[in-house]
Amino acid sequence: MSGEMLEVRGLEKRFDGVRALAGFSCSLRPGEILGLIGPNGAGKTTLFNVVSGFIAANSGKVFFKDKDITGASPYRITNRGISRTFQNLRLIRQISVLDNVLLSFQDQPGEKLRNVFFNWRKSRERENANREEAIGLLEETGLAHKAGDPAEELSYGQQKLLSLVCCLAAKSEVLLLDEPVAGIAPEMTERILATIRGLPSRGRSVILIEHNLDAVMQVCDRVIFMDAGAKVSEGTPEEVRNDPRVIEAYID
Amino acid sequence: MEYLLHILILIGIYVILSVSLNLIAGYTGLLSIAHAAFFGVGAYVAALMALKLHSPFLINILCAIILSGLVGALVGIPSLRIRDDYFVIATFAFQVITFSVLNNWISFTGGPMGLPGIPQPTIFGLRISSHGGFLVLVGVFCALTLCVTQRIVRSPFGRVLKAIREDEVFAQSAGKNIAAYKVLVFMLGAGMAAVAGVVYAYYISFIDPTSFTVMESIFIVSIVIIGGAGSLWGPVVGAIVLVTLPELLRFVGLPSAVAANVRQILYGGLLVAFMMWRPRGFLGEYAFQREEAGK
Amino acid sequence: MAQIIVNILFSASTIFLVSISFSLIFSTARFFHFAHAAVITFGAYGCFAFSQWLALPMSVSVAIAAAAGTLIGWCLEWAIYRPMRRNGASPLILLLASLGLYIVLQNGISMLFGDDTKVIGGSAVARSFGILGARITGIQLTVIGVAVAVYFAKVFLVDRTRIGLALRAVADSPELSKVSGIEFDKTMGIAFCLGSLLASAIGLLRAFDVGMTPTMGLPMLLLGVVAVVLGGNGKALGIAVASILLASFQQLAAWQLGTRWEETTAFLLLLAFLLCRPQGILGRPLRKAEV
Repeated sequence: MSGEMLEVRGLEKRFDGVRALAGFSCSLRPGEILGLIGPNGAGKTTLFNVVSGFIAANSGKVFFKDKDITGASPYRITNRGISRTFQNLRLIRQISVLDNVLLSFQDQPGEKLRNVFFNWRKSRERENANREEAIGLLEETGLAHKAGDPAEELSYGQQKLLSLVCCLAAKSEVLLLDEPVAGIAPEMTERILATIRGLPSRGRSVILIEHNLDAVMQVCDRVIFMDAGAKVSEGTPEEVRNDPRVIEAYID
Repeated sequence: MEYLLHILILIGIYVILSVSLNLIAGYTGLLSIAHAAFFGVGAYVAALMALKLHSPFLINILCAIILSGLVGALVGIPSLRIRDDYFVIATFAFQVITFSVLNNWISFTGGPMGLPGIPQPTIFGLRISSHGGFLVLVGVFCALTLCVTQRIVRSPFGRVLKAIREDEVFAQSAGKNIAAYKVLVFMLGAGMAAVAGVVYAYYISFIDPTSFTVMESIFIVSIVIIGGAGSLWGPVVGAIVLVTLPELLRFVGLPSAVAANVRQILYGGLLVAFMMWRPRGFLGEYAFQREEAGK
Repeated sequence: MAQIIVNILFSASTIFLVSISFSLIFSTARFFHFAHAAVITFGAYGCFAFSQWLALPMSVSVAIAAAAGTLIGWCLEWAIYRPMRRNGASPLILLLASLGLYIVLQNGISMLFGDDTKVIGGSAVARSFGILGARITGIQLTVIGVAVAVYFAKVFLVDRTRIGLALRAVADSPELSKVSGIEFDKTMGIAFCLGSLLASAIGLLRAFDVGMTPTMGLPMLLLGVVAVVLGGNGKALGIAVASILLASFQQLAAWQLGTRWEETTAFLLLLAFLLCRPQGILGRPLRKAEV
């Protein structure tokens, strides 16, 4: 029993001879915001893909609350309580903002065919409850006025915020956020960071990939610096920033 | 008058076929050229049961739905592993194989000679023998199909289907078991298509494999696309347009040998035209484009 | 036994030729151009029209028919696919359009020529020879010869020349090839020309062998598609191996189950490969969505 929220041990992943993950290990404590930084191609997104089940590692293990989830399918991993966002921003653009959030709720009776036909009332009740909750989340994050608009009509920054809201709707205990503020104007960046900062008090733990070092310094409790698939440095944001190995890697 | 009823009955049958394909292709984004196979399985199961077991209409239709649903599940399985245009080829293969079985397993299906003499259906003591009776029958099933489809697409289940259509990866990351949804939607669509097959078999009272070829599948696909994929009423519009338009040709006085060709050229041409200029069809929401993530 | 081998060789040659013709287009344009089946049929009927209706000598008819087929194929690309591509059509939309095109073209041929089987050529091509105890006709021998010739032509003339490089560059990476100065549209046009030329040729060869019907192209194309999928990466070797494999399987099925199950066997094989080994015998894996 390690008490860690998420633990990753010795992950190896090769793509056509390139070693994307080289025996990478790390752990996430409950209520922690862990930053993951490193140059492009360091393997950060690959790590997320392995943990969330989209890619199978060649070897190594992933534990969620001490349960081995290595190799589980992505949807099951989400069901267990790990959500993620995507570097290239995935949403269902054609449906409304509200529908995107509603989609993200777990255990919806209305998603089971038998309830659609034989227990419509149960589906309807839960749908209404989810809808209220979804609107609440959208109000909190300042997106409520766009609830009925198709997601594609949101600005890039708003879409990134929306994907974060979807993770919240899923009520996941662990959120893997892949570049949540990359390429976004300062005002929206602040809003998203504020939301992230509030996550531990809602009982969530976060791993955050970011290139924006200021954001990382502001928000993270702990930081890991990754390069060429391996962990190079680990510690508080200050410690890592001043680590000579990290400085060197950025200069290279 | 009989002729008009006949056209309406045909429209009804094609409405059921296209609405059910729309659920698979338009709402879930799984384009399939195997729908005539489900149509055929439904027709043959009902016909064989009526002819050999003399079982009642409702039992036959139930069995037809179940068996077609199972075939549908089979067809849906490859969609879990292969990309959409290769998947279309796979459905093509299923369609051709099904036709081949219907055409060549002579001892069971009668082969190219088909199954003649299908008796008239009796439902709750009422025998359906006239065009008017069949029109009511088709109408009831059309209404049922539309209601079922509407319930599905407006439910959270339907929301997941649309999510699968737009971005499977996102749907998975939202915790949805997309494999189950895909197979289920194929079963649903196949089951509904089987109903059309059963009505068709009883109505014409004679079926042979030539009604269930790949060309028929493509015709049903054309209806869905031209009418508008991903909308509830699109396939209805499509069915009305594509069934009546060729019939109007009769009044132009074309020799019958050529009429069949002209009919096909018409819907083939419409398919090309819509693909070039309006892939979402008349009323549709979905244009069979995959959006690249991040655009 | 020798007859079986001869049958397999002939069958494989036909499949190979159709496959290569299709693959030339498919690997460059990256979508299933079903109207190709109509181009095959067109080659046959073109030859018929020129030799029977215009009473041109056979060799001239053959040449013009092949040229006409090439032109038709190119026109489809220029008039239909290219504008659609410019509008950002996905492979699926292009596939659907090509189905529509096939239907239009096939029915056009039906209307012009009728649905009955027409024959061309005379005793010259139909005469059969004995080779090692097996019988084979002149035309069948020609098909095998053409297949071998095309194989070497593909490997040495297409794959290794600038044309081949351009075709492959466009196939692998349309964006990059544009940047490096390869004329995208022109290369696409060449792919369609080469593929359609070969398709018309195999169409008319087939007509010499067994006659022609308006729907002859589709079953031929489907087998070709099966061989392309089985063969994997579009290279001549993979397609050749796949063609032989497919032809052998079909002969086996014909022998054990009867010829009417030949088509089913081919498609069962296709399904098996799509499900278990979608990269084909020699190819690279077909990835689904990138995460």
